[in-house]
Amino acid sequence: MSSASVCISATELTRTYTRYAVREKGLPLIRRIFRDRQLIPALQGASFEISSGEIVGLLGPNGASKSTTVKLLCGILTPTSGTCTVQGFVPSKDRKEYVKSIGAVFGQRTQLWWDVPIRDSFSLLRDIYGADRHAWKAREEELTDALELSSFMNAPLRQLSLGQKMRAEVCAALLHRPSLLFLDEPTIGLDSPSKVKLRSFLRQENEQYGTTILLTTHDMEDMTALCPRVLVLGRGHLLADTTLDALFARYGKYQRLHCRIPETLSLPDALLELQHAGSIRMSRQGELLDLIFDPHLVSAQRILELLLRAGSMEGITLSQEDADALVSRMYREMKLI
Amino acid sequence: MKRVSHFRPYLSAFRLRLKMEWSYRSAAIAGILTQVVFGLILCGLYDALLSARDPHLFRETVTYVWLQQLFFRAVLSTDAELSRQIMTGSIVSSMVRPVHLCSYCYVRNLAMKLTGSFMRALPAIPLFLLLPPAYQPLLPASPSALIAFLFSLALGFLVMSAVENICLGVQLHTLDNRGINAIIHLLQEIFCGNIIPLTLFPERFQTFLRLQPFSQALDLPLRLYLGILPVQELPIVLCLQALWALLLYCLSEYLFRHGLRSLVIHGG
Repeated sequence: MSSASVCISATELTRTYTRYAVREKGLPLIRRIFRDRQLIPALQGASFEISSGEIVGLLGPNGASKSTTVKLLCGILTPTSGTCTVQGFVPSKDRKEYVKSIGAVFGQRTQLWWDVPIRDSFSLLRDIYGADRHAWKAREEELTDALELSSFMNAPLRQLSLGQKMRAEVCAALLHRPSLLFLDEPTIGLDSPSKVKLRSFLRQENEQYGTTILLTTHDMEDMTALCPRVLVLGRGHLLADTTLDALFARYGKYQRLHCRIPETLSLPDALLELQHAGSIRMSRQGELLDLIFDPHLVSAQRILELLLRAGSMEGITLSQEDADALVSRMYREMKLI
Repeated sequence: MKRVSHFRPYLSAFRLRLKMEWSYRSAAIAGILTQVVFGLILCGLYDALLSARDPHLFRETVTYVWLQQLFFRAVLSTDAELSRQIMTGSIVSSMVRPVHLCSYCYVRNLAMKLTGSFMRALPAIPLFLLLPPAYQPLLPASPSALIAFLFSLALGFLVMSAVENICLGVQLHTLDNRGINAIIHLLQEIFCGNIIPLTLFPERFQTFLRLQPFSQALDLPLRLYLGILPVQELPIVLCLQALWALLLYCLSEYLFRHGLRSLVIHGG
């Protein structure tokens, strides 16, 4: 029942920034005295709805207004025009009341106090939310276990590693059991094991408590692991509101074959012809051969046959082309880069 | 019960900021040494200028100078973490918490100034016994003068925290706090009586000097301590201080409200 209710609803959401730039024309020195007011369009008329319990990813190249969208939805920025309603509130108007039920992690910024143990920062949060001590303690234990914070709860934030800091930030955002969580690049700078752990933790939070999650990231692994649904933003426009599978089906038309062959092996002419015709892209470094091909033009079977006829091969892997390459092509096709 | 829960976030932030100041113990020791050196230089100066002409005025001035130095941190101190947060945009994380940001910053300032100054003042008092007798500060004019001094010092802290909040409020507009701090700190050093005791200014300036906001911090409490202002005037002094604290706080609230609306945090 709650999964069907609308959590975030944005209509023609628009935000324009003002920038004061040095004049380009005019007398030298004199022109520097004056500043021209420029309007920089950021988000332009985005309309979308997100239901409670969903995990949605915001995808787009740098400068696509992903962070602007998150800030508008958090109530930190006021929209220039258009409206958004989040959990029945207008975020920029009822900020103090609204933020009680949301959590936010801004990957590039810290929210915990720099010089005090993170345990104390957490206690401050308890008093900010006016939470009951017992309930809070139980939740704190649950999260410190899940995020493995217990070994450094008494260390001040300044002494933590990047990964520890990020886990503490995520914990701080979730302690008050928000029903909506905004994550702006939560895995930035983390190593692979930490990323994997964080992702599984977020999925668990979503499944267990039905927390709605809106995530922005440049890490495609994050997207594939977490977000069934993605909103693609580019130059401030909402370009697609679709599932990740649909994106893969549409843009992921290439496959990749990777194998090891003897260094001295000369490749069959038929394969070189295919490369010449543009059906496959091939790169060879020592023993390693990397082939990217369009399965509609040439089948994997055909390529394997050709290679096997030429000589022995080992360590064959056949996979979808990686997500980063896919997204790059999508951005290129959408003329964003 | 409702009232208590309303103040709980701010009490908690206040307590945590008190605790945090304890991390800066070596800074406090360095601070004490600096204040002692400055105090000695000023004592030497007033020794040369005043001791021959008016020995009593000299001792009063020495006392004034030392107490100014003891509570230096109540006047000139900035919460570097808050300033850094505004500059780097990390303040957004406080904006997604259900707190009234202006009050939150105010209690942080207050806690910082209180711990900061008592951490320096209390250990420095025994050092006075090592000074030559003529350079030692006088005891309070009377026991009631001491009590009056403490009351008025407490309100002085409220005024100074509001001044600091104004700096932060301005920083929400300018993003950099160096300009506003340079201006305000200069005004504070002069008009709090830190560089030249306000008691030494000519009589015709005294009314203005007593009424202006910066003297509310330390100058008025010190006049009560020395008995220059009789204890009977305490209620008037307290009212004046409370009025300034309220006015300055309201000004900072205005700056915060406007600043937070127009503040734009750029970038991811």
